[in-house]
Amino acid sequence: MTTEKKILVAEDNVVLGDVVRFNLERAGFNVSLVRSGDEALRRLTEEPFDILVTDYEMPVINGSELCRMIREELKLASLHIVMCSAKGLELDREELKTRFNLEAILFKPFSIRELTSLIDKLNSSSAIPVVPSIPTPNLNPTR
Amino acid sequence: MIVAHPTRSLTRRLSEQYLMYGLAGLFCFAVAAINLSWHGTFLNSIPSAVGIPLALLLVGSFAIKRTSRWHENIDRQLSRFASSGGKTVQELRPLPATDALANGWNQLLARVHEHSAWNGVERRLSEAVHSQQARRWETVFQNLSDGIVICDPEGLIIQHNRAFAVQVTGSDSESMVGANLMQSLERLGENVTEKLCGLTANHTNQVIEVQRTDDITQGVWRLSRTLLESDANGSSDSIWTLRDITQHKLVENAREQFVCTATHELRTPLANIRAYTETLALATDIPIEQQQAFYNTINSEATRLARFVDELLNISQMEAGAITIRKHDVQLERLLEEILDSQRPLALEKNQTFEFSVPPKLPKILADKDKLNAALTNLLGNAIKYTPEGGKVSMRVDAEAHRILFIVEDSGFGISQEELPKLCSKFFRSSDSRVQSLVGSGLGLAFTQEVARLHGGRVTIQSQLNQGSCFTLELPLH
Repeated sequence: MTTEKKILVAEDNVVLGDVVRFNLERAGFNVSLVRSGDEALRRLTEEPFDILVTDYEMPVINGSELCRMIREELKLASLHIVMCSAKGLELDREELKTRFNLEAILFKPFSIRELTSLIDKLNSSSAIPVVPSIPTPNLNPTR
Repeated sequence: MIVAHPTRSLTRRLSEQYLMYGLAGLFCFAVAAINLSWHGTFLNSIPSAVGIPLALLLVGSFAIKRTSRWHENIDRQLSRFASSGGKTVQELRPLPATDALANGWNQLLARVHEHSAWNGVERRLSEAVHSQQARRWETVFQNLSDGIVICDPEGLIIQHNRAFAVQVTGSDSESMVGANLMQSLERLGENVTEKLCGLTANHTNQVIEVQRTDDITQGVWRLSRTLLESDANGSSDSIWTLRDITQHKLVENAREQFVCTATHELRTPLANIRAYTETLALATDIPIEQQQAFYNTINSEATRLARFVDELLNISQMEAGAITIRKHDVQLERLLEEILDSQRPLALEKNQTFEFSVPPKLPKILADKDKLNAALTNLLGNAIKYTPEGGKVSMRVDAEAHRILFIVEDSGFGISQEELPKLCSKFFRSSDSRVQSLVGSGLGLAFTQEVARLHGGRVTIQSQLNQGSCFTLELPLH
């Protein structure tokens, strides 16, 4: 299991956090779930993660502030970050993406399939190959 | 004999008289000369021969003068009248005679005097009316809620109304007439100067918004300038209007804030529903119990969404001032039961102690059941929502002689004294981070209060930060 990629999911919406974890675990990742920005920050200082999936609006430290601290204070330049937000066009997506070198910003309600395939892509593009322990769900079912 | 015949012209009459006396003089002179020459005493009688015609001519000129005296009088008066520029109508005098000329002149004068008298009356009346109108306009000008300033081309204040003085100086006692408008406006706040520079450089009619500070609650004004028609030199006076739009801006901000909150509120359950349905659709090998749990989640998220949509509907009605209540006899027991059924599980979910007490017999009340239900659900729902796990929530009903009290108490976050007065304002949400982390539109209490008001009742709030709150909905009993 040492080859499993580690994903940290920061999401204050417990219901959504649970289903994201469920799907990512099925896709073969080692998922940790936290409910706030400061908790996420604490976990990131304690152990290394490959990918962070974070909400934008969270108590104490929001997604944007979390990303800033990760890049500027923790200096985690190689951590892939995917942001999910219930804010729509109010956010300056391009500015956030370039400023914190984000992989993507997904707007809620986002597609779980979109999220898992994005993370799969990040996974396969990274140097260490990951052998999923559980078969990934069929990502292109016929509708 | 000389007759002043009305049909004969003055010239004719004068020439007739002149000729008559002249000819009489000549005739007398000739007769006397011939007679005296006959008697050889011509030289001796020269004095009388000259004197008689002279006397005749003198009498003639007197007669002419007498004939033309009224004409001369009129002539003099008219000359004076003309030289005064036609302004001394009152000085024209009637003639003390009864002949046709005098009659004509006197009648004309009477007419003229009568006319000018009426003119005077009319002028005085119109002056009175105008001064009253001017006073009315002045009153309007002074009492307009917008600040109005009239400025000369150099930017100096010619006139301003009270609202302008109040908005700029904070009191209406200070006159700013003669002051420089730009300098006066700078008193509105630090940010104002820059904007004003842009405005003065440009010579068209304009509107700008100025803010006292970055905080809009400190004051926002809309300043507009209209140039009046320019004079011969091309410079013109200008009218400036200063309108306080702080309230308008605050409402606008609150509305934007609300739209933001509302979209977030709508997207959150939608995101959950979509994620769960997609998961169920994608993965066919999920254990049946887990599938069941997912379906339950979808169901409760859909319920949450529906509830929020209901809330939005109430809000939009409230916004439009269109909440109407239809009062019927309400069975309070039934109503309270419904509310408890929906709210008790939420309290139990958070391990809260839930207490409920009602008197053995509840009075019948006349109310809008649905609105009252929503209002009470709101109070109880808030108590549960803003009380941490393991806290205490209670609802008590007290029936008195003329009123009924629904008292909802909790041991929750409480509200600070500073925020307490704003609690029932639309869109207001506490800045407490514990409240911010929970979803809410900031309209529930405003709605509850509106429902209470429409029933002739009220909502009173007592709260201590970190101790808990007590909301009382009071309705009159008729």
